[in-house]
Amino acid sequence: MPRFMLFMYPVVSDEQYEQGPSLEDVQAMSKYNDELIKAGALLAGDGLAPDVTRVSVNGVVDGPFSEAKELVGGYWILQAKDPEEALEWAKRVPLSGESFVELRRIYEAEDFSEEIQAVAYKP
Amino acid sequence: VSTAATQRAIEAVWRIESARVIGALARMVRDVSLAEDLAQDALVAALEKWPQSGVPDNPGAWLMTAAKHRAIDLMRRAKRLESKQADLARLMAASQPEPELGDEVLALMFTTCHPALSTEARVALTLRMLGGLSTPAIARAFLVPESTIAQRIVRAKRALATERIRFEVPEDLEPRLASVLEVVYLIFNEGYAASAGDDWMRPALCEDALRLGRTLASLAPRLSEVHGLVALMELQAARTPARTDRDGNPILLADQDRRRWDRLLIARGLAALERAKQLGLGAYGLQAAIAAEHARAPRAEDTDWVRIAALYETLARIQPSPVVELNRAVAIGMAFGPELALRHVEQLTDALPGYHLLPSVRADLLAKLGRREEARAELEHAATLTSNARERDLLLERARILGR
Repeated sequence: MPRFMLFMYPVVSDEQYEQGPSLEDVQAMSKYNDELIKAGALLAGDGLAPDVTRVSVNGVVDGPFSEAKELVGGYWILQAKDPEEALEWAKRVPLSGESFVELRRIYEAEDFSEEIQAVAYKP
Repeated sequence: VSTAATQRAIEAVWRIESARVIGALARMVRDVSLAEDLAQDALVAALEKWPQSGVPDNPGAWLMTAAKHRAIDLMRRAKRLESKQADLARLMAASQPEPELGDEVLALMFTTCHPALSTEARVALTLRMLGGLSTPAIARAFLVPESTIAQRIVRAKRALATERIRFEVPEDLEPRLASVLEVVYLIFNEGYAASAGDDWMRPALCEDALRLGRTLASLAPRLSEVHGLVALMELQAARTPARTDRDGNPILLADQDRRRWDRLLIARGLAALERAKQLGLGAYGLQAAIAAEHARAPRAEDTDWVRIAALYETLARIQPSPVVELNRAVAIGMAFGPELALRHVEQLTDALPGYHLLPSVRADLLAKLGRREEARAELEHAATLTSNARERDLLLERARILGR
């Protein structure tokens, strides 16, 4: 059964970012998570704190960055029979305003050529 | 959006919603078979309507409403006026609040896994009503003709009626739990070590079983053995990527590349095992504890076999069985040497006639003692006892190596 990762992008004002999610938001999200758990579809999921640090060959830079509103706010790892089922779950994420979720399928070993699999798994 | 894409979208909605819809309807009409028929009718209606209208915003509620209308139609057509009106009143009352996912799904699980039904019937009904699998999908999974599964479902539904099995969450869950867990683990095992066919594993069945188990754990969180079974399945499923080579041939535990084990499933399994431990370990929990010992060992040679042998001893005490004794013998062999283990295995010969793993284990122990010719004969005997093609090949290959 393929696995999918669902990324939450909360598009909110700086003020709202500071305040964090409201009680109603949390309630709606808990209900959604509960449905995922009861369907046996949730493998993992967490919310992410807004503090961000970038590490690259140029060194370490602390955020916030100008595009902070497109920061990942949380993620879910789902197991679904097919992309349609994963999409159905994605459509059920409680969203408001311009917030959105992004759905990505997780690579499985079979996605790669035998050559690449051999490099990935042999010492 | 193409028709085929809409159809796949509808099927996805169905898999997510069907157990809840069937459960809620069963609560209303007090009849699981009728509830399933009504829900199927609603699915057919969706398949007709949604390709034109598009998938509605709340597809679960749409299916539920459609099915309830059908239930009401059915009642209207019923001959007995008085009971019709009473039923109608009940239906209207029941159709008001949006039902919470929970009790009715649990009740559905305990109904489709009722001990009065045959094991085959329980498996087919559970996969269909709770797993949202179609009859052809179940038939494909078990490599039997579609008509066989269809018949099993018809017979199971008839048995639900004749045995007057009530749709309810039993007041005392514990005594009825064994029959539910048995069904879930049977589905898992059919996927994990297929008893027939060309593939040694059919992981989709394992995942169906895991989903059922996780659902059950969320609905009945106070039952230790539910968490025990979930832990066992998560830990075993974690090994799936390492259990076969590229050609689908089995790789034994000791030879698996442990870096391919799924860390997320191991973490989930260990967490479920912790929950089971807090509630007191039962037979599934103990098996999970054994699987956890393997999961914790970074290399095969790091395995704590003394502890595994002790866990098997406890398991044999609470659930005496020759298969447990055979596994215990393997652990004893690893912990204390093949001679002691062989003595254990010899006592099991009469208890496990025709079980291919008995000669296979004996062969392993004999080979370790340098008795290669005897070991080879045991492996050839074991190969005649399994009906799985891949496993037979592996046994014959081991025999061939010993014969060199």
